[in-house]
Parts: sequence; structure tokens; C-alpha cells
Amino acid sequence: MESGALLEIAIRTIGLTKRFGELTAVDHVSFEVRRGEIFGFLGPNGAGKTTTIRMLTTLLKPTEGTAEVWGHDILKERDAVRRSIGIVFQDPSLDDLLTGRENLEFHGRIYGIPKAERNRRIKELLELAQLSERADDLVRTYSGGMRRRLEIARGLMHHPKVLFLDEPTLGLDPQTRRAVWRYIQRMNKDEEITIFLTTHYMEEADYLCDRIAIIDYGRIVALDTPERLKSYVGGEVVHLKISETNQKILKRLSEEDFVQDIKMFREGFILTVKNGQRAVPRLIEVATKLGITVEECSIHMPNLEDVFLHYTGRRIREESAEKPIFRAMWMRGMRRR
Amino acid sequence: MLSAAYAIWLREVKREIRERGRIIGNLFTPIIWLGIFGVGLGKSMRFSGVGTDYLTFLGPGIVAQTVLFSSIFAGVSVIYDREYGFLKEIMVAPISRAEIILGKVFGGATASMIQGTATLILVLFMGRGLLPNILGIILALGFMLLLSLALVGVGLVGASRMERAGGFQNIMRMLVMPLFFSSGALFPLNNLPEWLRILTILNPITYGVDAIRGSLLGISIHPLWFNFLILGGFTLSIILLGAHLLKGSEA
Repeated sequence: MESGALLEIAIRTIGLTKRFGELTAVDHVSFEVRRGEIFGFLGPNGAGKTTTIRMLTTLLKPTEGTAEVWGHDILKERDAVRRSIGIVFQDPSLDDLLTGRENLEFHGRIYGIPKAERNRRIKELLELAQLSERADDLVRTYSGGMRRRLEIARGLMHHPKVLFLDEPTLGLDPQTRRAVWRYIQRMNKDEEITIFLTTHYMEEADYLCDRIAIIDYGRIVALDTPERLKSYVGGEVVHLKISETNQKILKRLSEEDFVQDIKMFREGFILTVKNGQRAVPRLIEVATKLGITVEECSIHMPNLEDVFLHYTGRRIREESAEKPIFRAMWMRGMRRR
Repeated sequence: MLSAAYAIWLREVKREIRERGRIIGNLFTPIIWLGIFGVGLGKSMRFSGVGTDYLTFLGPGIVAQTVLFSSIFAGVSVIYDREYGFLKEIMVAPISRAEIILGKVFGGATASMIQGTATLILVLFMGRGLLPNILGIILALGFMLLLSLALVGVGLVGASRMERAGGFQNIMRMLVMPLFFSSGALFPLNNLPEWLRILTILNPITYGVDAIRGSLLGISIHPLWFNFLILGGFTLSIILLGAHLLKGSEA
């Protein structure tokens, strides 16, 4: 029925686009997710991650282009797509007046799972989510991490082929976040399920994902394994915090032959250099000659933050950390349309 | 293949039962109406066209009132589900909108029937000379269910386009009083001025009140089958309208 090439593909998008009036939230995005992998959509808030998920899960119609999920067209075969996927939304969507078990039961019933199988599956997932002992307590009494685990377990009730996780660890403390990561990995292995997740946490994408698409202003700017993305940056990354920054210093530093790339920020420079161990003393020497004090200097192997900077010229943290309120308002606006 | 509608119904009923004290609390209102308003007015006034004593006449009206008050706010659950995110869980499932509406409507109606039945039992004890046969009670319960389905439908239509629970409740409160007062629950409809008579004819609750009173007391303006047709037609159209509106609304 399906061709050999198609069998390997879990999700394929072709020029997927969504406009909200003037704003193009997702701009002709084309990519493929392979079966069995954990695929990450990494980008700052407002980059179009949630909008993409909403289109792939048939909650939102694309303005242009289309996509296939597990071989089903998101426009023409809506119910087939819905049966093949599980979704964990960014905002909580549990009924906290029901118990954990009842939330799973509800899901099993609306997906038409027969009773015997439903009960077996609930037992299995409660164990996987380590919630067996609290199964009959109201969700109201659960902690944030427990709710998250329950929600992910619920998304798996009907044996979906692809699980969508929209910012799965948003608002969780670091320890809980790690636990959820391990849980997602176990799910990916034990259930042999393809996972599509969005995140704006670099460590999360790096730790979890087999491949990552970096998305900015609705476009994919890079797509590869975390290792290869990092290797594209080339060299090592030096952060230089200095007393003052200006174009003259920028120009002077970029003339040095070991400097591959340099970007200026309020508090200093971020440079990509060859042979970092030797480059750093040279950098400080040049700066001192120009009469500038180097306040701090650090050198590290490229991480995804540097990859994002490399491709967009901006830092992901600046966008994500400072505007949580703006983001919430924007999301509400989107939902209303 | 009504497993999804059943799941939605079951959830509504569970939530209703878990709100402890609500059933007892809601019995307070009919007790006040019957015990103070009914007894007081019955002692001090003579009504023409009542056909029995006033308290007995009022009883079925108060049963209808309980159904009216408890059903029309059931639509608010859709708004809460949207606000708390649970609606997405329902909207993303591979099920039809018709099943969602079916579950929601019967869920709301069941909750309302629990209240209505409690009031009915109260009324059977308070009304004098009120000894309806089993058939009468069964008929009354049937009409109560039909009335509550209609009103849950009204609530769902109101809720389908509303974002905030507060706004919805204000609109419904504005609707409830005129509907209640012009339904014939409190006074007979035979000596009314023309404008008020037209209002009572247009009010769908009128037929529910008349049918419940007819079933329990044998006193009614219209024959039961006529009330059934009008109320049934209204219920069906309002639920179809609700399903249509929900189709266009996003989670």
C-alpha cells in the first residue's frame, strides 16, 4: 500500500505556511521526520513552533502547503491523522476534578478502546509514569511534574504512532525536567514511538533529540543532528566581556586571522576562533593595546545556543527569558482567531 | 459507537456528584418558594382558574423552575473546559461534533434531573390533595427531561461563542427571570392582557410547565401531546443549532 520510501517517514511537510493577517507565523516550511526518532523544533518564543504543531495535529488549517502524518494528509484525512497521533499541549489540559485513572479512562473511551484493553493499558501507563500509587487521587492534588507525566501517559493511551509534545518541560524545575526527559526517552524506546517536540531550551533539544530543526521567524534555518549542527559553527567559542564596545574594536578584532566570526553585544563580543587555547592570550593582548580592559573571558566548545547565534545573529535567551508575559498574550490572541 | 458521548456524559455526572452539598443547597430555593411564597400567597388571595388550592398549583411550577435554573447554566461547563484547557483534549479526538454535543447535553440534563427529582419529591409531600398515580409521575419525569434537554441546549448555544464564564452567566441570568415569570409557573394564564399572553405563547418553558402540571394534577391548558410536540421540536432545533455553532468554534 505504502511505498518503501514512505515507510521510513513519520511526518513530511511541503511548503507548510500559516498567516494571521499581516503576520506570517510559519513560512513555507518543508521537512521530514523519520520513524522512531525524537525530532526537535528549537526556536525562540513566537518562532512558529506551536502554530506548526497545531497544523500537524489538524487543529489549525494551513494557509498554504500541506503535510502528511504517518502517510495521512492533514487536510483530507483528518480523522486518520488524529488516530495516529498523541498530543501533549503546552498548557495543561487535564480535568483536575477527576482522578489520574479517570483522566486516562476518559481518553480511552473517546478513542473507542474496549474495556479490557483499556484497563490493561491504563495499568501499564500508570506504571511507566510512576503514578500507580496516586492513580485514584484527584489530579488537583498532583504536583506539576506528576501532571506532566500523566498528560504524556494520556497521549499514549491509544497507541499513537507519533507523539507531539509542545514545550514538555515548560515551567518545571530543573530536577523535574530531568525526570521528564528520562521518561520521554524511555517512552521513545519502550513504545517505539516517534516523538516530535518543540522547545526553546537548548539543553533539552541537545539532550533528547536525534535531529533538530532550528526555527526562527517561521522559517527553518538549520536542520541536522545536534553534533553536526555544532560542528557547523566551526572552531571554539570565546565570550569576551569588556569595559566598552564599539565598531572600531570590532573591526580590529576581526582582522586577526584566527577569528572566524565575531558578533557584538552590549556587554562584549562573542567570537568563533580556531585553536582557542592560543587565541585567548592574543585577544587579550590586542584588547590591551587598544586600551580596553577585559573583565571576563571564557572559552567553550560550541553548544546549540552558539548554533542559533551562528544562523540568526541573535541569541535565543534574549527572546525567551525576558518576554513571558508578552508571549502569553500573543498565544491567547492566536487561539481566538 | 457512542462510547465518546458516554465518556463525556460520565464525566459531567461525576463532576456534578463531586460538588458536595450542591444538591442539598439547591433544595433551599424551592423550599423557600413553596413554603413562604406558596403558603403565604395561597392563604391571602383567591385565584380563579387554578382548579385546586394555590400551593398544589404552584408545586409543578417550582419543579419546572428547578429544572430551568439548573439546566440553563450547564452550558457554562463548555466555557470552563475551554478556560482550563480540557476542551482541547475533546476537540482533538477523532470523534464527531454530534457526539460531543450529545454527551454534553445529556450530561447537563442528568445533573439537572437529579435536582429536579429532589424538588419533585418535595412537591409530592407538600401539595395537598395531590395523589398522582405512577403514570403521572413517569410522565412528569419525561417532560422534565425534555425541558432540561431544551434548556441545556439554550445554555450550550449561549456558551458556544462566549469566552468568559462571567459574561455568560450575566446573559443567562437576564434570560432566566422573564422566562420563569412568563411561563405560567406562578399564576394561571387564562386572564392575561394580550401582550403578556403573546409572551407566554412564545416562551417554550410555558409548554414544559403546562405538561408537568398536566401530568401531576390533570390540569392543563394544552393537551399533553401538543406540549410534547412543541417542546420536542424546540429541543431538537436548539441542539442542532448548538452542534452547528460548536463546529465553528475553536478549542
